[in-house]
Amino acid sequence: MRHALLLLLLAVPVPLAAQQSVERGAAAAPTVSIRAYNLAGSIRVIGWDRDSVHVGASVARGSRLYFGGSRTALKLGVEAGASSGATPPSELILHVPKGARVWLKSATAGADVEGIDGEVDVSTVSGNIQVRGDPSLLAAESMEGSLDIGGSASVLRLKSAGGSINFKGFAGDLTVSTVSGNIQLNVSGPVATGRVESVTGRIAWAGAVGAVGSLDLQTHGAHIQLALPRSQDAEIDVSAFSGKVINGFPSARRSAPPGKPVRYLLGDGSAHIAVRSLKGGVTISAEQ
Amino acid sequence: MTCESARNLIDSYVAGTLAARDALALEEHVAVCAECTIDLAAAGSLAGPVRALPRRMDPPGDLWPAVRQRLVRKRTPGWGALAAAAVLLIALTSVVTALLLDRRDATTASLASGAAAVRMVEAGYVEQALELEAALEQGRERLAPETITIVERNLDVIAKAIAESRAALEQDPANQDLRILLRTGHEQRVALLEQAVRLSREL
Amino acid sequence: MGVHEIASGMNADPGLLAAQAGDPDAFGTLYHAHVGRIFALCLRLAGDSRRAEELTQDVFVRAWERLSSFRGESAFTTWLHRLAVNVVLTDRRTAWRRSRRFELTDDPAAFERGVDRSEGVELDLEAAISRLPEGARTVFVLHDVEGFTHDEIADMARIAAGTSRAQLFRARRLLRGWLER
Repeated sequence: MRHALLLLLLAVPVPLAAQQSVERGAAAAPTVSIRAYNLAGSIRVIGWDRDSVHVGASVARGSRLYFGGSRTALKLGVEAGASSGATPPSELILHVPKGARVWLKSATAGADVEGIDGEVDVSTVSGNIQVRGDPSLLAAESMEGSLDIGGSASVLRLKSAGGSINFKGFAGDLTVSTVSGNIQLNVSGPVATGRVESVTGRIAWAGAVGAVGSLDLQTHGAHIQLALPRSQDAEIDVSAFSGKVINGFPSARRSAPPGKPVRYLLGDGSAHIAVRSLKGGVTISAEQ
Repeated sequence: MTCESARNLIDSYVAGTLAARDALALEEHVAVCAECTIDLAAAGSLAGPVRALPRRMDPPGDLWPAVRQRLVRKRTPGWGALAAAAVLLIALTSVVTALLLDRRDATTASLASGAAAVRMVEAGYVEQALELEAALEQGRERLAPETITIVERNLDVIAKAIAESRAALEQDPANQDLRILLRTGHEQRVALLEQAVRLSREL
Repeated sequence: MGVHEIASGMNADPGLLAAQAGDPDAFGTLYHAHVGRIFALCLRLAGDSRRAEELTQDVFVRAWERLSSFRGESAFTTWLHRLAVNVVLTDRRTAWRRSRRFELTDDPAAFERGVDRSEGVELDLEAAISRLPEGARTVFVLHDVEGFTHDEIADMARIAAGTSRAQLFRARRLLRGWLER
């Protein structure tokens, strides 16, 4: 009852006269779902070991912070005033239970998430996204912003049209896509399923593909660099239609089966790797 | 025998349709290969249960009334109306109109030709892109001009890639990698439009 | 097994011709004849009953829109199944970030909701299939359950045929591991 009353009070938007610091908090379930919006400025989310949510905000003149919901689902964000023109920037800092499911949306605001074990879903138009930690599932998408991701996720979905994507860590199932942004992936454990694609962005992969795993790297017009551990066991099919294919993997055995693209065999070939580029070249090497 | 060729034989071995000589070769390989032993055992133990799976499952509720309603609504615009919509959206639809016009003779073309290979890949994406572009047009005023510029710039990059993949596939219609490249181009275009539509609704 | 063996010869079916001519009631007859198989396919690919219902609707709406392009070169069942696979896979690829993503956590029970089936080995296998990672589940359902070849799957799922093979073996290993536990 006390919580219900507290939440009712919290659900009322807080009017703010000028750039102002606001703090709000509420008890929350360890796996609370949180939806947070801030169009301009920044959003920072930090996972902590408490069953509560705390919001510290610096809200722009004319904008208001809203905050409401229940123990299991909270919604909060900055609402711009009625004035036309660009949304003035506000800063949001959230402390949430580590196991929370976090959903963030922004336009130009950058998003920064750390220490969340639950699911994380971040979307921006041009704000950069940075995630550190080990969410069970991570989806990060931007139209123009860059993605910088470090840690592990059993399922990882990263996407930006114009921004670059940088990932360092482990992902069991990984999908990465850009239009023109460059992609750099340093994967620390064997991936089970990977799909990486761009139109004109360069792709650089370093890491292992698990036994009976698969990796698909594809670009329309850029270079693909594929670095695999020396112990990698894989069959690699390479289709480079006009670019050059350079194999620097010492033990790779090259063959061109009828009707197939160029194939390299490493060990028994238990994993399958497909690499295709219409206009770019492909380089295969052993990891240093 | 390599693991790869062994794996290619496992299904017909389990089905009992493998020639005796190949079956023997597979058995010899499996006897000395732990990985292929696992794969053969998995295929063998699953074949029966998979065959026993029900082919039909009825949806929990009757979906027909909802489908029926959408049929009436969807059937109304003919190709003429869609083409007119395409003209309105000309800023975003450099590729689509050409595809629409291209469709008319789709069925008369020989399947072996490059143009037919292209049409087989592209079927479906055209309508989807048109629907999304119409939705985007509706929400256009809710998007910041910078966002529209970003979307259009990326759509241009994708349109150019689609055109190049299409030309390559027309030259080499049997090439599976080219089919995949062209399909990916269309999917990236649809995904970008979806992202833009979502932004116009959510922000 | 598989859709290819079911050449129903429906291309000569007057009901099909009427539906092609734009008769929604004739299309309703086609719908009722095929909805069970299309729903089963959508359910196994999507792993979620509610989503499978939406996808089943989309498949039939799409079929209605494209019916005029069906020329009877293949059986109607084959044509419809290919269309269904395309609808499901395209939806998945282009909409992976919809808000329903928060429902994507492993929930094998969701698979059972509202579905009336006999208990036994099938139930265990169904639940296990729904637990497979998406890529492996797709290939397993299309190859082992629906009977598509790796080349056909490669085209539809936009993966290399070798990737399809690798995913199939991965799926079978996972399933066997779970079922024998």
